Parts: sequence; C-alpha cells; structure tokens
Amino acid sequence: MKRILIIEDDTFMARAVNLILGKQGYNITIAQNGKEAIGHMEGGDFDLIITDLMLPFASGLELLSRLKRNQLKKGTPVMILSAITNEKTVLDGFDLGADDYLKKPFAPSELVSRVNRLVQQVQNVY
Amino acid sequence: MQHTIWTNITKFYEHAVFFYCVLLFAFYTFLAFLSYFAIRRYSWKNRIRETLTLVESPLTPGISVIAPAYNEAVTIIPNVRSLLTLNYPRFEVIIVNDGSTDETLEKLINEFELSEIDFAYNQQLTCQPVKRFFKSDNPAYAKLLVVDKVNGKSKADAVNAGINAASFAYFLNTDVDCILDRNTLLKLIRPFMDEETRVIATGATLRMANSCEADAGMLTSIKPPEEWLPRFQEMEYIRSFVLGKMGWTSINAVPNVSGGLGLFDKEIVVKAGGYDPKSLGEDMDMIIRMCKYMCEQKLEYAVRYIPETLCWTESPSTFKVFGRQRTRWARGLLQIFSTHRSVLFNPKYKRLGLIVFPYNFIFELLAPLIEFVGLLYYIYIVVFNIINWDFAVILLLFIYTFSVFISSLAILWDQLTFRYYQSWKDVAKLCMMTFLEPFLYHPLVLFFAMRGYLYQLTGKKHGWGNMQRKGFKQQPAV
Amino acid sequence: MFSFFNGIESWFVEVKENFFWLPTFIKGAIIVSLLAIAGIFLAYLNMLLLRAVKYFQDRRNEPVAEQIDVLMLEHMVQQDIFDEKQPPALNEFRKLPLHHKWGRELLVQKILHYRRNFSGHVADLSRSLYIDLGLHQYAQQKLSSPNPKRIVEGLSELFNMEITVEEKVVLPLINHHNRYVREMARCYFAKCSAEHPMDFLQEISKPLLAWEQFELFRLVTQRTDIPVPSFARWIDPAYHPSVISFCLKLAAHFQQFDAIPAVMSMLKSENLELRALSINSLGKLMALEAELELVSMYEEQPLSCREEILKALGRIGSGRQLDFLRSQFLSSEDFEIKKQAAKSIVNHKALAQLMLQQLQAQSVGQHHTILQHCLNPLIKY
Repeated sequence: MKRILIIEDDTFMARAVNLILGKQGYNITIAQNGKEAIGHMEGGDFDLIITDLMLPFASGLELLSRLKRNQLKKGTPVMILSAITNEKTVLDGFDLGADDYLKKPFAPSELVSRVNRLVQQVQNVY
Repeated sequence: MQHTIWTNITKFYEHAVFFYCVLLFAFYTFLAFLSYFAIRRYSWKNRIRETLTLVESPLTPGISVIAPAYNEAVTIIPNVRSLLTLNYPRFEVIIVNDGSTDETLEKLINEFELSEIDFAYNQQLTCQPVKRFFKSDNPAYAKLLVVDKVNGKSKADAVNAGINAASFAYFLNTDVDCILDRNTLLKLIRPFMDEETRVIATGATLRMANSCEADAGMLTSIKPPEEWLPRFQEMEYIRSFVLGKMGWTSINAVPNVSGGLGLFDKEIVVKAGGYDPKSLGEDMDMIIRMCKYMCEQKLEYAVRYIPETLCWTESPSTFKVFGRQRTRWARGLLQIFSTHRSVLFNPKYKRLGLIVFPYNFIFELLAPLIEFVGLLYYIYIVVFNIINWDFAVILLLFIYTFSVFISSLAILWDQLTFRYYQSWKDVAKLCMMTFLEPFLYHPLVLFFAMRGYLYQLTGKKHGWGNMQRKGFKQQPAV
Repeated sequence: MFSFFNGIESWFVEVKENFFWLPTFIKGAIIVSLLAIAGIFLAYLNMLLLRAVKYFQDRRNEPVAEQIDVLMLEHMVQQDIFDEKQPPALNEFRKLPLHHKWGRELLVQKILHYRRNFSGHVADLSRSLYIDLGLHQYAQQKLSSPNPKRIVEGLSELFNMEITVEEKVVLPLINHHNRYVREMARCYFAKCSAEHPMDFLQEISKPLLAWEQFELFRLVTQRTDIPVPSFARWIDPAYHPSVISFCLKLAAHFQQFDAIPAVMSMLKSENLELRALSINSLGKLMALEAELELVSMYEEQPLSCREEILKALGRIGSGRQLDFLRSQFLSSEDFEIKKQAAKSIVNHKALAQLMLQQLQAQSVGQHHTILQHCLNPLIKY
C-alpha cells in the first residue's frame, strides 16, 4: 500500500484530504505542524508528501529543503497544497524541488488525479 | 489671619482633588463605553472580513518584521523560527544583532546557514554603523536577513538599522523575546487595508507570558501568571489596552503603540525621522512625531488598536526589575512632555494637541504627583487630628469601589473579545487582583513613578538600554 | 471581632440616617460608590453568564457540527471523485436541527467554509444543497432589513453562494448610505451579474478600500463562467482615482495588452500615485511601445515615478535602454535610483551580461555593493 504524509495545520483540511485519499486506498499519516512532520519524515518512508506552506515550527519550504538534502529520501515526490497564489511563492516552491503545486480552493478529483500521477511517476523511475 | 488663608488653601485643595477624581472617573467611564462599541464593531468585522482573502490575494502588501536582539543566545533560535513561520504570504524577518557579546550571532549563522553578503544599505535613519549583513544559503530561509551592527545601547538605534535595511512599505516592530500569535501580521495589517484615511500605525494587546507554556517559541497553553507581581501587571495591561487603547482608537486618539508589538507605515516613520535613541519612551515618542508630521503636512491619519492579544511577553517578576522598568517609563513620559511641549493645547495639532496631549498630561503625568501630595496631606491632617474620619472613609471607599469597577469592566470586555483562559479559575485569579490592586500594586507603581520623575528632574544618569531591556531575561525561559 | 462588625454596621446606619445633611460632594461620592458596587456585581454576573452561555452553546453545537462534517465529507467531498455525480442526499441533511436558527446558521457557515476550500463539483453541490434546503430565503429576507449589518450579512451569504436575486433589490444597495452595504452589493455584482459584473465601477464616487479591491480581485479571478472583462474601459481620468488604480492592477495581472494605450494616456495624470502605478503597469504588461515615452518623460518626474520608470524598463527588458539605465546607475545622486537602475540592468539577464561584467570590473565602493546586492540570488525582495 502506498504511503502518503499529509502536513496540514488546519484540522478540517487534514481530515478532508485524509478522507479523499484514504478512499483511494492510500495509507495516510497526518502531521499537524512542522515538528511532527520532521519526526515522521525521518522515521518513515513515504511515497508522497503533501504539505501546506504556512505551518507552525517549520515552514513547508523548510521541510522541503530538509527532505531534498536527505540522500535517501530526496526522491520522494512533494506536492504543495496552499492558499497562497503569489507567483513568487509558487516559484520558490518549485525551486526547492517541489513536484506539484495545488492551490486552494481545489477540486477533490483534481487532487486525486495529481496524487495518482505523482505516485505513479515514482514507480516508473524504479 | 494666617489661619484662615491656610484653611482656604486646604479647602480649595480638597475640592480640586475631588473634582480631578470625578473628571478622571468620568473619562474612564466614557472610555469604557467607547471601547465596548469598538470591540463589538471589531468582532462584527471579523465575521465579514475573512483573513483568507489576504492570504490568497497577490495584491497583499509585504511586511518587514524587525526584531532587535542583544545577548539572546539561549532563546534566539526558537524565537527566530517562530517569526519565520508567521502566517502571512509575503514578509521578511530582519534580526538586528545589536552588538551582542555572547554567541547570538554564531548560533544564527550555524542554524540558518548564513553567509555574509554585500547589501545595498540605505542609511536613511541615523544609527550606529552596520558591520555585516547575512543571508541564508538555503532558499527555505530566504525570508531571513541578519544585520550585525555596533551596539547602540538602545532599542531605538537597532530598530532604525532594521528600517534602513527593510524592503517593504510596512514594518512590524517587535522584540525577539516576544511570543507572537501566528496570525499577528494578518490581523494587524487589516486596519491599514480597511479605511479611507491613511492608517499610519496599528497595535494589539500585550499579555504576560510568565506562566504560559511554550514549545519552541510557540504558545501551547495560556494562563495568567502564578506570581502576584506579574499577575497584577497582566490585569493592568488588560485595563490599559482593552479598555484604554480600544476606547481611544474609536475616536482616533491613540497616544501610543506599545514597543512590544506595532505595525507601522515605513514612509511616515522615515519622514518623521525614525526612532530617537535618546528617548526613554521611544515608542510613544515615535507615534507623537508621526502624528506631528501628519498634522504639519495637513494630512489625515489614523492610529488604530485591535482588542485581540497577539503578543506575549515575559514581565518583570522581581521588585528590582519591575521598579527599574516603571522608573524608566515615568522618566520617558516626563521627557516626552518636555521635548514636545509645544504640542500641548496647540490647535495646530488637532486631536494630538487637544485630546491626546492634555489627557495624558493631566491624567497620566500629573496623576502620581497629585496622588503623592494627597498622601502627604492625609498624613498631615491625621497628625494634626483635623481629619473628619467619616468623610475620609467615604471618599476612600468612593475611589476604591470605582477603581475595582473599572478593572472589572476591563476583564469583562476582555472576555467579550476572546476567551484566552480555558478555565474559570484562571479568570477568577485575575479578578482577585482587581480587589487587591489599590492596596498592594498601586502604591508600588506610584512610588516608582515618583522616583522616575525625581531622577529625570535631577538629571540622574540612567544607563537604559541593554541591561534594562533584558533585565528579566536572566530567568529560565518559559 | 463581633464588636468591630457591629461598629461598621452602626456606622453605615449613621451615614444613612444623616445622608441628607451631608455635603453635596460626599453625597455624590456615596452614590457613585453604590453605583460602582452594583456595576462590579453586574460585571461578574455577566462574566459568569457569558461563560455559561458559551458552555451550553458549545455543548449544543459540537455534535451537530460534527454531524454536518460527516455528511458534507461523505455526500459532497467524496462525490467529486466518482464519475457518476449524484444529487445531494437531501433527506440526510433534513434530519439536522434546521428548524432552529442556530442550526441553520451552523450549516450555512459550514457550507461557506467548504465552498471556500473546495472548488468544482463540491462547490456546485453544496450550492444546490443550500438552495434545496431553502436556506437562501432567510438570507434574502435579510436584504430588506432596516439594520445595515443584517443586509451585509445577507448579501455576503448570497454572493458567496452565488445566488442571484432580482436586480431591482440589489441595485439600490449600490448607493446605500452604509459603506459595508455598498461594498457587499458591489461584490454581489462582481460575483453574480451575468453580463456586466463590473459596471458598478463607473458609479463609484468614494474610494474603493484596499480590502474591497482584494475581495473584488478574488471574485473576478474565480469567475469561470464569463471571460474576464476588459479593464481598459475604466482606465480613464473621468472615473474615481481608486477605480483607475484598481483597474490598472487588474489589467496588468490579467495581461490585457489591449489596455496599453489607455494606460499610456494615464502617464500625464496629475495624481502622482496614479502616474506611478500606470508606469508600473506598463512594465508588467511589458509595453515595448511605451519605452521611449517613459525615457523621455523621466527627467521631469519626481522620485517615486523615476523609480517606477527604471523598474518598468527592467521589466520590459528590450535591451535598448541599457545605456540609459547605466547612466542613471552611475550618475544619479539618489541611492534608491541607483539601486533600482542596477536591479533593472540585472533584470535584462543575458542581454546585459557584457555590461554587467564591465560595470563590476570598474565599480568600487557603494556602486560595487549595489551591484552585488542586485546580482545576489539569495536576496529576493
């Protein structure tokens, strides 16, 4: 079963994404803040990480840069899910190695298809 | 003959003091009314103005967060981290290392992968020279700029350097040891965006962090201080912010945006000459100079406060440090009235000259003096046994009940704004202070204020600055 | 101890009996003290009540809120993933306590929250749920309330749900005396009007607040049913300055190149802020045709506009004005002008490579620092 880490401080959003992707047969782990997220990222292997940008303790970008520096885990695809539409912020995300950027509000079906594609891609690499 | 003159003088004095009291109480009641409606309006606006709009919009203005640091090695990393993770789509964090003698700077360099860079620094405001600039090599910390400057012995000097390096049109002035609410920027910028008149500064309520629990610069539980001295201060802060400043905000006569947390229009600050390193009350001095500038340019302006608490700070918990702080405040106030004396009752400065200054002159600056003389007078009439005990008791009760009433209202208004304390016991702890304050806390405040005036008038040298500002940091962090 | 309290009691009795013979100021003091005591008592009573009410409200609302979440997630959010779209499960929602006002308000708040966070099918479904449950009627009723706050709440609910009401109801609200009502009415048109979402712009006589601009901007961006209106229409000195500035920003954001002539006409505006913003917009629109005019007007401009011109030249980035930028960088007295000129040279990327190499080799001191600053990719703002 594919594992996904969702990093989201808004409990409502975390719950919704958990439900949407859970139904697709993914194994979901939720982190409510940057600190928890670092713990999960170091502790486990994930096939995809979905992160918000504005998080307590460590920002989404910081988590991203940590991940990409970890030789073992830098291949894990990362999707940013954020309400920030500012072009510069989006570019910063991609510069740091994010694979996708989904803006809120989003359609659940769009999330699912993007997630499926990202997880698929990793499979093809190996 | 001499005897009758003396009786007339005492009689006049008694009446004048009584009149003063009544006027002060009337003002407080009036402020309480104003503040009630201001809070109601604020809560309603909260319902129709969703902060998400600011997060989403590409038009949202950028903010420079400026936080000076002097010998903060113990707590600097979590505190900077919490500033970096504020909820806001476009901001930078400028840490001004004010010539620290400990390893504050080294810690920052190591933690945030900083390296020295060439920085086009525009020295618009005077301050001590800047030695070096640092940016992170890690794009994840692109928001962070560290300015390493020669110690200027005052917060004002450090903030000026931060303003010189700031790139956005608004800046937040805070202390590196304050714990901010994550939505501080979103909430403080709203008044700027939501008014036809130009808003030049906004502030929010401050509270004591002494007994709050924090994890890596982030509050996890909010409680009133356990120790009495900080708890008295918490009550005093609630009264002065929720009741006082919120009342003044509705008639656009806010006298001061507290140095712990304030969002400013950079252009006006720069044009008004920036912070004054020589001022002992540099925050109030800044607001007054900004308002003066706006009046002189014949521009409409507003200074606003919001009732929500966005900043938690550790308050002095020993008499020594507390006394130093209050003495400095008193000196600062006296200094402000002597530097800006032309403003008082000057119609050119509109509400600043006709409302803000007179009120603060009569009821803030003169209050300790009048009270002190009153105490002496009491002693005099007791010693000479010419006191009418019945009347004395009635008048004391009058002052006591009214001050308890005003403090209780402040706590009630605070409860209307937001429920910071989960348990009713916490509220009760605070309420208890309203009853004890006039006996225990107020005399202290009075004493230190008088000491401050004395020092200022005798020109006693006061090495304010680093030691003063960080005096209470010797305790273990929360 | 007993005699002490007795003493106090007899003292009070004495004061009470002699009340009328006391001097006026003592009488006043006694009355104020009594009022204050009553006030203290009321304040604490109020605090207790407030906490009690909140406690019971929470206890009442929480299970219902949870129920709504479960229903919404199951019947709305999940539905979106399936290919077969089903109508909302009305009967399930009807079981909620919608006969109470608080129940309805809770559901409406939740629906709005979902619509704010999800687009596509979820948004559509929750809208039809809102209509099918008849919740829009309550919002519509609010529009005829004499209380402006109610009207604002009603309007904001309606436009956020994209419910259209008869135009004759909303149209007069555009000129309502209350600022917030006017604002919501405009938002309503921006979101819901089928043909002329932005026509209200020509009627505006009081400044559009920044917040309102953000809100309108968001609404325009999110409308997918109609093409984005052409904002050049309102970039005309005849309209209110805040309208012009709003449209300048929007035209630039939506890259409406046909607005360039209108924007250029604003370069002669007396209003400095507007002039600066027009220059800025020309830069964002990469208006090559404006380049020469910008350079020729440069000399007589104040500082703010000069900075904007330099910035715009960097954005247009044709390479033809590099010499001009260089001369400003080297000869200007003003620090910000130098910095902006350097930034704009750097913005030319490959076109300016040679020039930058030369400048770097020649410059020392302040010039060198500014160049290094602008070339540094770590400095983003």
